[in-house]
Amino acid sequence: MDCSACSLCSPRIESLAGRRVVVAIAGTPNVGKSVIFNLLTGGRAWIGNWPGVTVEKKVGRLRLDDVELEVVDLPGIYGLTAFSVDELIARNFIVEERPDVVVCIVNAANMERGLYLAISLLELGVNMVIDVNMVDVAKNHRIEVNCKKLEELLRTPVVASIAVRGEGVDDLKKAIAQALSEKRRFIDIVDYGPEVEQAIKKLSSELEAQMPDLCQAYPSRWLALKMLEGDRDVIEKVKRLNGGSEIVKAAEELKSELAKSIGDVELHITKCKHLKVSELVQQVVKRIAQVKVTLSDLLDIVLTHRIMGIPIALSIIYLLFRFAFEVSAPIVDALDVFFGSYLHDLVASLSLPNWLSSLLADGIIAGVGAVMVFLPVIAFFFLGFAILEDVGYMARISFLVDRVFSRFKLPGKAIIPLIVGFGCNVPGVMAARPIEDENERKTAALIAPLASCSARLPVYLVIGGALFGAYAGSAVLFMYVLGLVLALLMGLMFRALLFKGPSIGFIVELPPYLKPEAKSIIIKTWERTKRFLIKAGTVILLAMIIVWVLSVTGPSGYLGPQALEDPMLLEESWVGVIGHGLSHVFAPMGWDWRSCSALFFGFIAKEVVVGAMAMLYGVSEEALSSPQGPLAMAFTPITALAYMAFVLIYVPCLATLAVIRSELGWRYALMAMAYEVCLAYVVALAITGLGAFIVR
Amino acid sequence: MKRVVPLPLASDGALVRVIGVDCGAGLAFRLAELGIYPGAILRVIASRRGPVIIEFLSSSNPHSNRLMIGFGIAMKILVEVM
Repeated sequence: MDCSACSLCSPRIESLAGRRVVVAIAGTPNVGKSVIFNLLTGGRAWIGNWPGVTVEKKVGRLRLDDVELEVVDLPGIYGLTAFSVDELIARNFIVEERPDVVVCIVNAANMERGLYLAISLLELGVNMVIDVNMVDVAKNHRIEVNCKKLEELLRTPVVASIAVRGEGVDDLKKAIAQALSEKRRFIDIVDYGPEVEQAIKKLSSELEAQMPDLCQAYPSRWLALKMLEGDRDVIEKVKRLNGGSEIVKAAEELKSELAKSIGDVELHITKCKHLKVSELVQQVVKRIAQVKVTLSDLLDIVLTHRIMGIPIALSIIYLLFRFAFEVSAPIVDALDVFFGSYLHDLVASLSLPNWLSSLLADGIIAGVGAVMVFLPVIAFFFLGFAILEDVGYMARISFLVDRVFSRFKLPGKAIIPLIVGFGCNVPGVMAARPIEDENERKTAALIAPLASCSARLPVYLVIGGALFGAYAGSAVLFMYVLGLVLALLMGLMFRALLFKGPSIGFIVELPPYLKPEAKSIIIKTWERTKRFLIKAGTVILLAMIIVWVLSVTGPSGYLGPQALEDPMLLEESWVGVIGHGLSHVFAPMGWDWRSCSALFFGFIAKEVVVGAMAMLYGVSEEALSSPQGPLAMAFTPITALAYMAFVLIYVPCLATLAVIRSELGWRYALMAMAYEVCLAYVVALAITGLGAFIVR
Repeated sequence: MKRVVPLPLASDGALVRVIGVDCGAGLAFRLAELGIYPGAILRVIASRRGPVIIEFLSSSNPHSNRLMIGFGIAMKILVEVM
């Protein structure tokens, strides 16, 4: 096509070339922001950190008419007041960084929520494009949205889309290009009534006269409005400037003046906005038919039932586990063969120096392979989890457990980090982010590592198989329950001692049950699984090299790779020294030096415990779990149970510590480590003591 | 007779009008932003004497505009059962 014929490439957008052009994607939670982000950027995103807080930031690129745009995916928000860390990030980005275009994504089936946000953005003078998403869902609800009309009423480009099917993306790209070339504003969209409008006018003219620079950055009307709302951020901004204190004082006077005639000013402002939204909705949303009872209602009657709800939830979580382990089993076996035999033998057959061949085969391939075999389990776990999440069931689970959790001073939402933690603790800690209250969020992140992640399971399976025979399953289940109970108890303790404060609980949108869409599920699964892959590729790789080096060297110097074959020689290595040292510490539990040094390596990643044990006892992993194997000799059922509990609780793996550090800071990472080691020791000691008492 | 109760004490299916929110200005403003302000009419979908699910009667599509409110916050919302 002849380029000049296309009206999109206006001279303005070309003039943007060479400058950093930023497009932000905003919207309420669960409207498909990430799907649209992926469609716009072709899924090629890079992850950075937000300035100030180390919460992840997703950025990608989009090429439009030779201009390269930076697309930023923002966390979900309801308005421009921040309540949680997530929301603060989104608000600050829109308010402080002033992106060139904000794509506001609105759920067609729930226009009120989305338009409230859209209006708040318009008032800020944001250059906006509205994407009415999920028009198919709205259609199922017998609702039609007139986008043309909305475009007229808001004086803002509006497009319709069904993001999960990729429909409407081209329109969205065109609308973004259009918004970049002709900036439109509609800051006085809401009429707040004569009294407030007069106050706004008075305040904004004062602002314009006294602080022209600030009014250059933000519409003076918006500044005045926010001052009347008592927005701390804006008041701080004004106060800092010359003559700011007077204006702030004037605003306070106006506010108390207004309170006499209209009552609470903040409430009045939000009410007017809601009225405007209702008016808009009436003009653009057409109800084709009234739906009385939906399938979603029927499902909720059962799934959130006061008696049946919890047992059903437990069954669903159990099914999630079965799904993850059973479906992935053949792939796990294949990977095991690939790493354990094929690659191992391949390296061994190469004519490499003895030490290098051993480092590669016994260290890296055996170690990383032992971890990689969990990849399918974790991937399938997160796949199942993403389906449950997208269907809308996870929100119901938080609802169900809220009452129980509130006794432990935790919000119902704190169940999500624990469930995600069952897959892998790293995304589990991050899943605490949407919890509004700072104290509750920190607590939820700190207890998430107590959820028994899939990496700990092989440790249970090996020891359980060797010592508990037919009762192995119960022993494993006991570990999961123990983890949950301890998480709740520690949560209560943290809330009572460290993160005090009332439990305000949570407010979340409850989406109707939705048909899951493959694209969205694959994106979510990949994002969570990716973290595990990164961990295997970095931390664990490094760890395995360290384990190998410590095994082939000792106080007497280099022992050579044969130490790995010869348990007697291995005892002379650093690993042996560490194990012997630790076995004194663990003397009350009666664990031998080999299992103690395996614990030392489990600090790097719990998966490593099994591999390290196999190496230390000089047998294969299969032989390890046999009832006649070395473990059956080294442990009694009681010491084994204590050992399993210790593995469950003591220090989260390095990768989890790293994520706690990035989410909460060094102090908390160290604290998590300290409390878990102490707790693990106490629990293991208690099991040993109680066990001895019962057996006697 | 009008009955004013904290939101969790309203029964399933009840229509209620928000009377007031008994908490700090920050939370009150947030609730107002979400549509829970004095005068707003809500329908209680499910209440477990703890968390509450509500929908907005004024909404064009009440069904998909539901909020789940945790026990702590719900207790601060005073409503009049209609």
